[in-house]
Amino acid sequence: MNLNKSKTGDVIIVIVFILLICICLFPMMNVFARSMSAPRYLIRSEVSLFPRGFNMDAFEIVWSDSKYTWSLAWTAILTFICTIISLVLTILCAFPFVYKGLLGRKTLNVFMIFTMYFGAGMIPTFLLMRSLGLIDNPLVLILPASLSIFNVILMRSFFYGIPDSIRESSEIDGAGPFKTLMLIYLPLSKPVLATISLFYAVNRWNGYADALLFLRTERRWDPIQLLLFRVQQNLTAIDVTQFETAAGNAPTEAIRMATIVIATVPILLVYPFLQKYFVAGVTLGSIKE
Amino acid sequence: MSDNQSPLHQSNKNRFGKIEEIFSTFPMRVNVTIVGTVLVLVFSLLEWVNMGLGVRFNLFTLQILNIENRVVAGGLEEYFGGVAGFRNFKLFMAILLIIFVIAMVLLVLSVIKYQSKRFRSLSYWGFGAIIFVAIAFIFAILITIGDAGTTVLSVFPLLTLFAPILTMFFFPFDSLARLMNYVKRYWVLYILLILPMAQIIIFRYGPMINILAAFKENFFLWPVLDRPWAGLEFFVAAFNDPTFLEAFRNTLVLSFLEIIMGFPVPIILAILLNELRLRKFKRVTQTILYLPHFLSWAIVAGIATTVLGNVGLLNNFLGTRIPFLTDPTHWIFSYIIIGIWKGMGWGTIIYLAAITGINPELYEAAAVDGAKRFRLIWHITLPGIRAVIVLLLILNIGGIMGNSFERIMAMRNPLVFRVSDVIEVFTYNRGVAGLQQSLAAAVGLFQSIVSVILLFGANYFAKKTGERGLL
Repeated sequence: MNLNKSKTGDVIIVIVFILLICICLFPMMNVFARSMSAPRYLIRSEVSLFPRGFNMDAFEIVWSDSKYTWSLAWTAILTFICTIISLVLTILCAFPFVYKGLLGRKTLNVFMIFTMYFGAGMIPTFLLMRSLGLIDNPLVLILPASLSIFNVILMRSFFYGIPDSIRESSEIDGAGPFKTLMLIYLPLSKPVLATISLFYAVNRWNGYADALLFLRTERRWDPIQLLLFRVQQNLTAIDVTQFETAAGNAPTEAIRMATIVIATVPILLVYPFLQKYFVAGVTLGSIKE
Repeated sequence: MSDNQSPLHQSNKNRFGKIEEIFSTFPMRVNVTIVGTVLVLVFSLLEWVNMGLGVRFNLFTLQILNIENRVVAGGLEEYFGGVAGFRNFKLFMAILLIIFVIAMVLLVLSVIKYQSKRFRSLSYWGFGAIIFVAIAFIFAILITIGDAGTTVLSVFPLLTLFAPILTMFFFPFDSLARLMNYVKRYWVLYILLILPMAQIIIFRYGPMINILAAFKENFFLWPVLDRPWAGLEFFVAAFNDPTFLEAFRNTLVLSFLEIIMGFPVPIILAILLNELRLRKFKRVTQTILYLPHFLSWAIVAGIATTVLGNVGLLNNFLGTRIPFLTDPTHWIFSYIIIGIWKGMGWGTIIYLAAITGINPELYEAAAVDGAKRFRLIWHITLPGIRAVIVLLLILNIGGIMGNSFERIMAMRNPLVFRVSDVIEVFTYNRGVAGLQQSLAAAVGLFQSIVSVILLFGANYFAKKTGERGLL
């Protein structure tokens, strides 16, 4: 099918995308390169896309620092726990809506959707966490964000796509709603389950706003991203005061790069294989809004 | 065998039969109403007896309270660490009253609707009424478990009176058998909903009661409901505060620039990606372009200082020393461009999905008519994804007042505070890191309300101009 499209146009588009790929990749490559370079090149900031004077000292320092290793381990545990809890809650919240005859279905829907458009805000939330005793408590990283309404709608849309006749026939065979959910709906919705767990996992791994707000004095439960955030804040302070010698402190620089790399690598490792699930989630959400 | 049945059993059966007979002379929902009302009256009576004794038991907090609503013993308080003593009884009653009035109005409306349209099931207004009663319940429960300390259980009988009234009009079953059938079929679903709904009530509706902090004195260690009233003092204070005005201005500047510069990028990219005919290259491109979306803002800020710093990658490449992150004007554009960098690839997905939905015959027909690439894009692709564009624009307008706390916190630095500190940063600095809780709450409330108005205003406008809109 030739749609009167010129070859030059195609070439221009390909060039544009090659440029965009460079724009996307070069900053990351720069960080990777810096984390593995020798200090003498870092001081003169002569590292661009590939490591110079290759060494892994910075990584060894980070690995031997219990602050980082514990934070990484804790964030991994946290992500795992949060994903499981969130996934269960999302399934529980989405499934009953499949039943068109459920009394109060529309009311519950409005009740849920309302919170997507109007949030209480930072201070009221902070006050609630305080009165529930969740400040400086690791639970504050798990419970408040354990249900995303957007993901519930996503899962619900997928459930709606499963024909009612399958459900009805299972009910004729004597299965109750719970059995129908476990034996029919969940096995059929593996792709959306993958998508939603990935959304939750990535959000938890990358998020630090809640930690910043609700972990006031206790440093033990800081997720890795908050740690990075603090390192970054300290760095900018130094950066500003020692204006000209921004990259002057090479080992610190390499260590900072190494922490960034370590916090990024888990996502980089899983992302290419799971990309289709992420995309499927966004597409599903866009169609069924 | 009737001889085998004892007289007692016989009489019992007869008596039961009589009740059933009486009941069956009325429609089912009237019966439910009667039973409900009786239960409520019994409940109220118990309450008043309790009050008469001078102590009563609070079902929600597991406390024993005396006549002045002081806690005598027990209660969840001990776990949640609230302060005993309910100082805002009048306020509580006033709010409940308002909710009741609204619920009553809705009820009357619903009755009119019910009679005019002969709805068999719950009507629209009835939903409204139920929501309001539900809110009253939630409100009461929150006051019980929340900051307030203790509660006034004696209003619950009043509250529960609404349940039978509602059922009077909306009870959707016309026989006991059908009710039993419904319960048998659906009870599991309500059990499934308990946990998620509890999460929503506690963590999404729960904070809403604390919005009152904006209207109360800044006694930041006190429970919100116990603080004395301050009226609109803090709203006035906020608008007289130069820092807030600056934050407000910064928010608007950053958001508008973000929309103007950032919003079209994914659209253009999606169209270009769609034009890309090398399958493999397209897939690789997509994978790489989506990647920055999965980096957290802390990491992106780290990358930004590395790449855009005074001796960073970009400056080395250009052979310059442009202060991308340390000069306020440069910083604004760096901020926007880094946002675009992170979100551009990911933003294309939704448009690509919309483009896929366009009927290919349209392109073929236009191509037969001699349309070239640009005209195809202009006359078919863009109109084909217009609905999605409008939808996302509405959402973007709803976010003008700011929803980028992590982003701004990670990217700001002392040299650019003048342009980087948006409303959220102000709220954080004053209310969480600082001690001006009421001021911060007032600002936060202002922000939420303006956001909602913007969102629905944009939606209304879109619908006016014939678009599908958000809701």
